[in-house]
Amino acid sequence: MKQSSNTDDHFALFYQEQVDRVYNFFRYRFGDNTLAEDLTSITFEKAWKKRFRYDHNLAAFSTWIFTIARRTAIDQYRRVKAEIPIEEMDHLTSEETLEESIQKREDLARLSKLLTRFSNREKELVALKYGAGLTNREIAKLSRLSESNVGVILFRIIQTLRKEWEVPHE
Amino acid sequence: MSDRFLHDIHEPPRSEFTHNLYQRINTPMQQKPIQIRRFAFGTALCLLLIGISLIFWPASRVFAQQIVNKMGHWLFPNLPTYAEQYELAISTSVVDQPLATGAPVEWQAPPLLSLEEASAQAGFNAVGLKNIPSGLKLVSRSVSFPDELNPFTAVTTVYSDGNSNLSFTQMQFIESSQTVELPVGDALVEEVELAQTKALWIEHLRLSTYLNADQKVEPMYANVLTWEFDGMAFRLKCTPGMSQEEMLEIAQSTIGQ
Repeated sequence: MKQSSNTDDHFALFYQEQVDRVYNFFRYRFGDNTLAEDLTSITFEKAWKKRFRYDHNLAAFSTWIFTIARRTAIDQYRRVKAEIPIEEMDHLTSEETLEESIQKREDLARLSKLLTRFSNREKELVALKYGAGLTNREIAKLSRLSESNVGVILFRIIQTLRKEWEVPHE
Repeated sequence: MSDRFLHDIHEPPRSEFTHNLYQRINTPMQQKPIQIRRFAFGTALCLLLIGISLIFWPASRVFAQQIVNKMGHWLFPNLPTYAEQYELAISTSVVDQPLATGAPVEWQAPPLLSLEEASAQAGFNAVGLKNIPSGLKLVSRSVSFPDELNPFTAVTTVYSDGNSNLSFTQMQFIESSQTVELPVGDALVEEVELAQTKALWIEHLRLSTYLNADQKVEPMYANVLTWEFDGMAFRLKCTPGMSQEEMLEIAQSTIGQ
């Protein structure tokens, strides 16, 4: 189905709403900020090319864009095994101090290491919930699990992660 | 239970990145006219060379056909179907014809698992069908597990009215498994739109044979719709063939379950 002539305007609005969430979905999924930027670019380039095929009657924009994002993540996972580099600092967001930024990157790297013991599906659920900020209902729609299933799986993951997170580390 | 530590890792993207990405996808790049002409000429030349090779070299045509007919883990080359290959092998005496032993085979009812039972056995959410034509009744639902030829776990559901069979197979491939071939012979294969994804339509696929009302052996044909969604492969097959519109309507009911 074709969008109206306002497609490009709508896309601009959707982009502003979703770019942060898509970016953090990839950050949580792969533990690498640079890779997350690359995959975010790929996702929105694909979405832009297909923007006339998006039908708001069939799915919310967030569902549509995260379907594309998840496929991009699967392609990336198949291409290379995700590694977890500790990045050198090369820039700061205006609201962060150097210390805060370093802490966040260390936390991200630590999370990625802890997540290696989980399945791809479980890693993806964490990325969708905490990276993308999706509700359990939205995650259930994307992942074809029931909403209660999503809740149970996430609860179990957080229980395990929290125990490991509270263990002192170097 | 506090999950604050997971939220704290959240970080906005760089504003420069966000701005540049939007500019890049939104603004068409301006090319110099001479570059466009060169690009167009080069493209035309490549297409001409490909066309010539397809016409004069059958091997390249077969290769191209094999490239075109692909859906996820499945490859649909235009080679004789398995049924045709088997019949050819029998007719050239490469394979012995199966003998009728005369011993009666006890009929066993096919398994009819519920969606929940099938999901539990398969290890993934089994999807149900809607928009089934009236007259077709659910006759079986079973789960099969990976083997040498089929690197996937599958839930197969079959509907029948005694004359027509509609089967729906949902497959989860083993990670890093290779492609699996299903030769389609002379069947028509075309890409179609299904919801917001692509599907392959295979029309008049030759299967095995059956005995018609006059007790004569007739070849059996099916129409097939196959697609991938959310990491799963799906196949809808109907014998004798149902129209593309009807099968798309049934397939549509599985999206978003």
